[in-house]
Amino acid sequence: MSDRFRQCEELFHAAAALSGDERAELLETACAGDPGLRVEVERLLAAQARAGDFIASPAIAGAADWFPPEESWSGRRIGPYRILKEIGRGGMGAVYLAERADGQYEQRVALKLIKRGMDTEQVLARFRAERQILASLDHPNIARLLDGGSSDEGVPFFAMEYIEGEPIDAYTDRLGLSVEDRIRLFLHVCGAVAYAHQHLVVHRDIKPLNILVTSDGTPKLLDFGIAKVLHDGADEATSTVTGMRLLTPEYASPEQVEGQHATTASDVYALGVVLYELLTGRSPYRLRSRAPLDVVAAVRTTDPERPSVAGSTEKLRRRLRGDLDVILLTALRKEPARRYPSVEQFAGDLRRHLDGLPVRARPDTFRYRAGKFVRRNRGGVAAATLVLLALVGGTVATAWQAREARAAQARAERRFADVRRLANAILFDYHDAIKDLRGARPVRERLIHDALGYLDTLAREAHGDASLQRELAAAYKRWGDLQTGDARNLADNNGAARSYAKALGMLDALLRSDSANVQVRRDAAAAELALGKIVWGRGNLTAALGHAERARGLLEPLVAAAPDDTGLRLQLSSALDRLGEISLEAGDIAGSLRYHRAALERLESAPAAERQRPLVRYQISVAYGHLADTQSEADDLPGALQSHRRSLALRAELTKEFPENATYADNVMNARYYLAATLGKVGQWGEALRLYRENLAQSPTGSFGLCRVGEALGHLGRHEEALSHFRRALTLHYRELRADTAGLISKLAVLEDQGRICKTLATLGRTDAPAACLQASRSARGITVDSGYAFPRAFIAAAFTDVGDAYEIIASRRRTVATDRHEYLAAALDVRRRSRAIWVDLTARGLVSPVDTGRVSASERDLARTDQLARSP
Amino acid sequence: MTDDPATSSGDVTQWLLAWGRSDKQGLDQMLPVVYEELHRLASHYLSREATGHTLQPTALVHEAYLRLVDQRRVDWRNRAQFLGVAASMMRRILVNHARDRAVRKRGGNAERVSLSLVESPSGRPDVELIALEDALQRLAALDERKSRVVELKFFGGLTIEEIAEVLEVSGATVEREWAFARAWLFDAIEGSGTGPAS
Repeated sequence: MSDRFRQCEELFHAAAALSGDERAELLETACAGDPGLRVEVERLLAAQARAGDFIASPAIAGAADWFPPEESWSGRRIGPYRILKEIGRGGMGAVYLAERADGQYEQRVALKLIKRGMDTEQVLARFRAERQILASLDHPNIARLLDGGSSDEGVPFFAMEYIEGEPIDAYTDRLGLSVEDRIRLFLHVCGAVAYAHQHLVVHRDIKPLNILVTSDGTPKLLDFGIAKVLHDGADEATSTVTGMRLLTPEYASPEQVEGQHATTASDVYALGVVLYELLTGRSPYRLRSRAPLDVVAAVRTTDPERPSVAGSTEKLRRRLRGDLDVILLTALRKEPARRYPSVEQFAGDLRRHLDGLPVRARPDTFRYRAGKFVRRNRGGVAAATLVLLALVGGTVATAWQAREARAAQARAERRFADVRRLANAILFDYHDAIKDLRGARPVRERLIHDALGYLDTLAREAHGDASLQRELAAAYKRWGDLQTGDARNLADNNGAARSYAKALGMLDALLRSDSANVQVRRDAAAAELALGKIVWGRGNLTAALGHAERARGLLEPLVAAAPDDTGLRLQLSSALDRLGEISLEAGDIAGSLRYHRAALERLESAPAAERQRPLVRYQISVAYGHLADTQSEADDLPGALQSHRRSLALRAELTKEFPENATYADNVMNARYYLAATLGKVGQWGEALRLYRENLAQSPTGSFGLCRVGEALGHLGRHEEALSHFRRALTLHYRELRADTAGLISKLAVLEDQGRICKTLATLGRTDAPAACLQASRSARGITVDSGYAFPRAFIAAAFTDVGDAYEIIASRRRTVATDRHEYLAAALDVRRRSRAIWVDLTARGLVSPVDTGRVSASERDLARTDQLARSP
Repeated sequence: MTDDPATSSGDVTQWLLAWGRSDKQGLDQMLPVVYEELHRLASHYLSREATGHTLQPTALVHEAYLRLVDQRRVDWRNRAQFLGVAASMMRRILVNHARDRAVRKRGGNAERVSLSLVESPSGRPDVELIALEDALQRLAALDERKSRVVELKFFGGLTIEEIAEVLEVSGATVEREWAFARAWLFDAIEGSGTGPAS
């Protein structure tokens, strides 16, 4: 049997490779005397010809088609009900219209069948527990839950009051309702939710599809509490990868999405989203796509767009500006505690808005709050203290405890909660509200000015009160931090430095009387580092080193005494790290290496449990990275490579363990870049390419990444591929440049691409190479930058060198005509001169780092060589 | 839905590595977990109620692999073994699914499904999965490896290269096996049931 099969097979393959006459001939010959064999083979060949797409795609791809939708359940009995028809499909299962089969009542219900495999037993158990409560919800705007159980075949179901209506968003759009009418309609929904909350039922899944409006305009809320019955909190937000979500992510609150239990605050949030959509027609978030992962990321990390910005028409935007902005944004706050505390309050503000009364959610200005507060407490300094301590936010509690012991201020005791809330509100509002406002800078500056004024007044009166002094020092430091701000916001370094200095002044005084106080030492170390950073930024390296050394001195003994205190250890290592970096800048390479190694030692000598913490591992990776930089400067490239590898290994681990952490993800890429760049220096371009490719895979639209991959390919001789990468990078960089015309970085990026492209074209012998050289040369000449700004100038010099190389390559091609050759060499000379001029100037200004000192002589050599070429016939 | 800690990637990886060292116990322990995972992925996909899911249908087997195995610790051979096993499980899952539906359609009467081709509205011949399964089993009786190629490619969604790794043959061999098997199966299903001579 198998012989025959083999014969058949061999013949099949042989014949399949031929056609027409040749094929017939082969079959004729091979099957002589065995017509049966010929028949079989011809059958198979015919089958092959007709097979088309037969099983060409994997089974699962077409599987959905093969399994046509569930055939009709209509007519079937589930429990006491008989199904009439399907009315919808949801994440949990299908919904059917049904009636009582036993003729007991004339009632039509909506029957929700729950898919098998959703923990049926547990679902039913939970349902029985919840049933009482759910069935007791009797409200005109809530669709009643009537019944639940499982059918004879074990299909679980819920029976609800059947509501004939349309989702609220469709309803309002169809009737073209005004903003007022939409709000009024929405208020009915709020009433329903508030009622349920009173009965301790949280909906958890509020969305337009669950709010149906009947023909007489009554909104009815569906599916109350069902979400809770189906999955008791634990797996609410999991399984994002395959999209097996039972919540609707667009309406889920940040805390639900993070897997925490839903509360009344989550319902407030969801109501906020619904109202937002009713009023603006859009989702509060700009979604990249509807894929669950993207929605989840948006909900968790991005701020909702102001309704008055999101509205589709100018008229609508104007209408929404002001109260409605504030009301909606309050409901949509990321932190549950900062939303409306209850649905009633949310609804209350909406009603006040409709009635033309001032709403409660408007954020107060600092002055207003402080002023009001002080007036309420006529108590001179005590009042100022309250306000001030409120400003300081987190320190209020401890300060209060000290205060209480000292002075019997009964009224102050009652104010404790108020002050706490006030403090949070001020600090939060300051950050949030002000940060986004245009024209906020003068306000912020006034705020800081006023606040510092208060601090100063109090400082004068704080003698002998050690804890108050400490609190004030912390306050100064915090204000320093606020003044430093982040990159885009307010950055008043002078002011910050003054605040830090004041904090240090007080802390030093405290240390003199109590040098062992751990907390004071820590605070002082932090202040030293903060002040040191500013001083460093101004270029005063000696002073910066001094600050960092003092910080180190304060922390070393503490770490020795408390080896399990990770925070201390991290602080100490960052002080050592700082010392390493500053030393490097100062040219003390040996010192820098010592400091960085010390930083690593402190971290790696932590007890095993501490060393495993992600933060520590991350810090170790940072330390290795800095060590590598110093090793590079010291020309110890093997050492640098090893350090970079260690850094990368740690970061790769971290990002694997915490795939959602953006910091780790970004820093893995950085580590790869550094390692790859160093590998490039030693000529290991193969591995460098691999690393650059990994980065590109992680961030496919990164223009920088494209350029790096191109660079590596070029070094490996794969010029065509390199060219395509450079071109893609250039396209992206052009786009960036158009959006940011003055941007130096964009210009330099374009220049780099152009330089590399022209050189690659020259290497490939393309005819468009000279034009590309000209373009690059022009770009380079067109960038003006301050002479003391070394980095960009070095960049430009390197670009000129590339262009010079390119011109030389073109000139040396045999194809090039003599006259052209002359021109190209002249052009090469020109750009080489420019390059050398930059290097010479930078060296003269002492701006060239040790590693780059070779560049000057290299540029001289290039120039000499080109000159020589130009002179020879 | 279990909170079974055994589904952590560490364990499956262990078993996979063990199996690679010819410790059959590894395979035995691994199989139910892999089956469970594939089943879960497949039924989710087949239920068609996933909205906006980013899972590509052909990637189920690879998806299971990513979820169950710690890639840092295995090499391409382990991967090949895993994919091989996963593919045959996919076959079982899909065929069972088809059989379940067939039974229900006929109200419990497990009649044999007709072998005739069903023309879909688009004109492309669709194939009854059960018919294919029967034919495949007959092919396996004649030539195990060809049947395996079809299993890996059609049910598992593996590429030619991956199949070559699993079967430890060359890609060209896989292509040939596939071409023949396809023709044979097409003929077997479309014909009057006699098929080519065995």
